[in-house]
Amino acid sequence: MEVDKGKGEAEETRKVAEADRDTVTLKSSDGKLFEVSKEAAARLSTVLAGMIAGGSIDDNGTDLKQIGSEALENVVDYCNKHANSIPSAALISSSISFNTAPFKEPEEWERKFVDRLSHDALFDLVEAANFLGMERLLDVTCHKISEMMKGKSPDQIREVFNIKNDYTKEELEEIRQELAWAFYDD
Amino acid sequence: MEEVLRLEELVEEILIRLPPDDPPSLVRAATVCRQWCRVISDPGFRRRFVRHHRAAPVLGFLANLRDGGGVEYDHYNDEFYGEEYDFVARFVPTTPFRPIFPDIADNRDRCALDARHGRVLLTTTPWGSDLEVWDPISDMLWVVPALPPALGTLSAGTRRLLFIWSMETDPLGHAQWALTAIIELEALLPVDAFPILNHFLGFAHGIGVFFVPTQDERSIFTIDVSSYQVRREDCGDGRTHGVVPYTGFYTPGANFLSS
Repeated sequence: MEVDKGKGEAEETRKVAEADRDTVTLKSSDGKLFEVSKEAAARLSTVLAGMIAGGSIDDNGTDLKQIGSEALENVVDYCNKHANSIPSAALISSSISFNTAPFKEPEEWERKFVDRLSHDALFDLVEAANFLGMERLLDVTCHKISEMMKGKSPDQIREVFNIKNDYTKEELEEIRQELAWAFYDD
Repeated sequence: MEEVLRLEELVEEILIRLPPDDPPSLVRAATVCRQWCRVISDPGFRRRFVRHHRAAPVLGFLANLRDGGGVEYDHYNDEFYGEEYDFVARFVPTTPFRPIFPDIADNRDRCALDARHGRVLLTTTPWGSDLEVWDPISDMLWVVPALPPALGTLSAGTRRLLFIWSMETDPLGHAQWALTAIIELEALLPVDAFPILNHFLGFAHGIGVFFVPTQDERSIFTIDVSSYQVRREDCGDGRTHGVVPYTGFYTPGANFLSS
C-alpha cells in the first residue's frame, strides 16, 4: 500500500487516513465504517467507480444508507478477497464481455464465500451487490440462491423466500394437471 | 416478516440462473406466486435466459421408428408386396420435459430430418416432399415449402470406434481438422447391453452428446463425450431407423395459466 503523498486530510487522525489515496471509506446504514481498496472497489462496482471518478467519495465515510453493516462487511470482504485472488480468465473475460460472455461458474473461493452465509445474509448481500452495481458478486450470489431452489417444491420455495401463495387452489391444480411432468416427484 | 427479495429485478436475476437442463425448476418457480409467474412468462425473460445459458440442453430426441411388415420388391413379377410400414417420429424425452399434448409427441406418418433452435424438421412418409416444422415446446406446427434435401443426421462410425475430429487453427491461422479423441463405444456400454449398430449416429452439436442405436433397434444409448456418461433411452414400440437430437430452452410461455 502506498504511503500518504500529501493529499490526505491533515485533520484526520484516524490511522486509515494514511492510506487515503488507496482506500475508500464506506458507511453503512447503521453508521459503521469500512475501508476498502479503491482499486478493487472501482473495478468491481460500477456505482463506486462512478463515485470515485466523480469525486463524490467522502473521506469521513461515504454514506450507503441502503446497506446494513453486515452486508457491507461482506461486500468489503468480497472486494478484498477478490483483490487478493489471482485474476482468472473468467474475470478478465467478464470485464470485456459487454454482457455477451456466457456465465462463468463461481470459483472455489467465491463458492466458499457465499456458502458460509446465512440465508438472511445472502439475501441482504444480493441487494447490496445490486445497489452497488457489482456484476460479478450479483452473479455469484444469485447463482447460489438459484441453487438453493434445486429439487424444492413450490411450498418449500415459498418458505425459503417467505412468499405468500396468492394462487387459488383451482389454479394450482390446473397447472399441475397441464404440466404434470414438472411435478413428477412431489 | 417481509419477503426476503423486495426487488422484482432481483427475482429475475435469480430465476434466470435456474438450470436449463432441469425444465421443472422454472415451472415450479412460476407456481410460487403471481409475481414470479409474471417475471418468468415475460418474453424478455426468455431472451435473457437463453442469452445467459447460451448452450441449449438436450431435452430429448426424435426417434424415427417403423412398424409393420414392410414392403419387399418381387423381382420376378416386378412389383412390391407385403404391407406398408407405419412410420412414426416419436419425441423421446431425456429430461422430465414433455410436449404439451403427449400424443402429439408421436408424429404419425412422419420422419424427423433435423432439429435446430428448438424446432424439428419433419417430412411426411411415404417420402413425399411435404415438410413441416414442429416446435415441441410451444406445440406449434408449420407447413413449409420444400427445401433442398441436404439435411440429415450425421452418419459415421466404423468398427464401433468413434473418431472425434475438431477444427483447429494452427499458429499461422490455417484451419485444419485434428483428431482429438477415439472412443471405443463398446467399452463404454454396459456389459449386458445389446450389441450396437453403426448404421447411424446422432450428434447434438455444441453439447457433445452422441446417440447410438442398439442392434434390436428398440433403444438408444446416449453418450456424453465430456463425461463419458452413458444412458439407455427407451424409444417405445417400433424399430428405430434414425434419431435426431432435440435441444432447446424450455420456459413457461405467455400462455402459462392464461385460461
